[in-house]
Amino acid sequence: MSTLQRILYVEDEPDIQAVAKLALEMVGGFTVKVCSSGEEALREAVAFAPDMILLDVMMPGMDGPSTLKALRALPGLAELPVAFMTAKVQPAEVAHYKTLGARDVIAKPFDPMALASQVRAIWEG
Amino acid sequence: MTTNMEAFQALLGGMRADFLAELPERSDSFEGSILTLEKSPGDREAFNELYRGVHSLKGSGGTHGLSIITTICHQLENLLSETEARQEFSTAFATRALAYVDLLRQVEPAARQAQPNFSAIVAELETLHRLRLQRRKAGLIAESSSVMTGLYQKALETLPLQLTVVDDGLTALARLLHEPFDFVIVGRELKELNGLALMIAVRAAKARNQDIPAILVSSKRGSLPDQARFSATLSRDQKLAENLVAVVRTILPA
Repeated sequence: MSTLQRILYVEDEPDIQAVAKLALEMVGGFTVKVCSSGEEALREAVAFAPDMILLDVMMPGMDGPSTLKALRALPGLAELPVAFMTAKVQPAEVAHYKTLGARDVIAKPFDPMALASQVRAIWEG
Repeated sequence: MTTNMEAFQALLGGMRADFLAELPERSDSFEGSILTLEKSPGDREAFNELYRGVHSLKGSGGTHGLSIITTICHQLENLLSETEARQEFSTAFATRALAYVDLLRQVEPAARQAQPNFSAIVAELETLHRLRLQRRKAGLIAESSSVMTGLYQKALETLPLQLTVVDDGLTALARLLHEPFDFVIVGRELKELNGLALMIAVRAAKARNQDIPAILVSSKRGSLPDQARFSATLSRDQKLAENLVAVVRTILPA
């Protein structure tokens, strides 16, 4: 693990997907695969071989925490850095997400210009 | 890199314009769901569609730099959560919810101005917020221990309260100086600014909340500075939850 290049991004809201993908690709220079649901992420994650995963918390079907739990059981993903993306960033909520195995939490709404550096900082964390 | 950033900013601008163009359609959809809920309060599908839509718009509005949309949706989302908890999808609910939708409709023309001015929308939002708070009393919990915060929230969950939690004294001070609250629960050993200093600052600021009822929770005994003007001091003991409920009841008007 030397540099952050491949990011799997799980988010159901198309507007936010589009902005985050552009920000991560154009500003951060990352290779990004977007999945619109937890179920899709479970199907795609192993083949994509991400360096890091960004997970929306509130999604229909499998939510972020359920998706994380299932991803952890897949080959090669048990220790992969994961950050949740959510508007619920009260200290107790952030602490809770970390106990679920997230390395950190990115507050929504995020700043598109700063997202890539924020993600990199978490990955290096 | 500069070219990339400029291209990115241009793309963001285009996406924001598309987003604004879709806002009237989203508002129409919300209105339809609200009216459905008024007629059929038990319609889970209508509620879920509305809640999900408002939550999504809250996120995308902020992502496009339109924090006014996030604020409107945040308040509407809270109204939906509270109404669902009490199962009170009445005409009064619909009137209040549609007031937020009307504000959403005002965002698009305002945002398209050369110098967007949302002050009229913000003023109306404050009015709606005040009306909502009149129904539910607003309390601020300033406590650095998540265990204690959980205990307060659990103890007070049956009272008609809207509780906000912060875990350090400086954030608590900022919130108390700028937002309306009906009471505050203060842990003595707060990070950044301890509970006593926090309340002395609030009392001295001659600003919003300077006379707010304040409850101190402390494991220490001893005299307290008069300037802090605590309404009650509670010990961290086995009766804390029970005592807290009793004190909050006496502070709140009937």
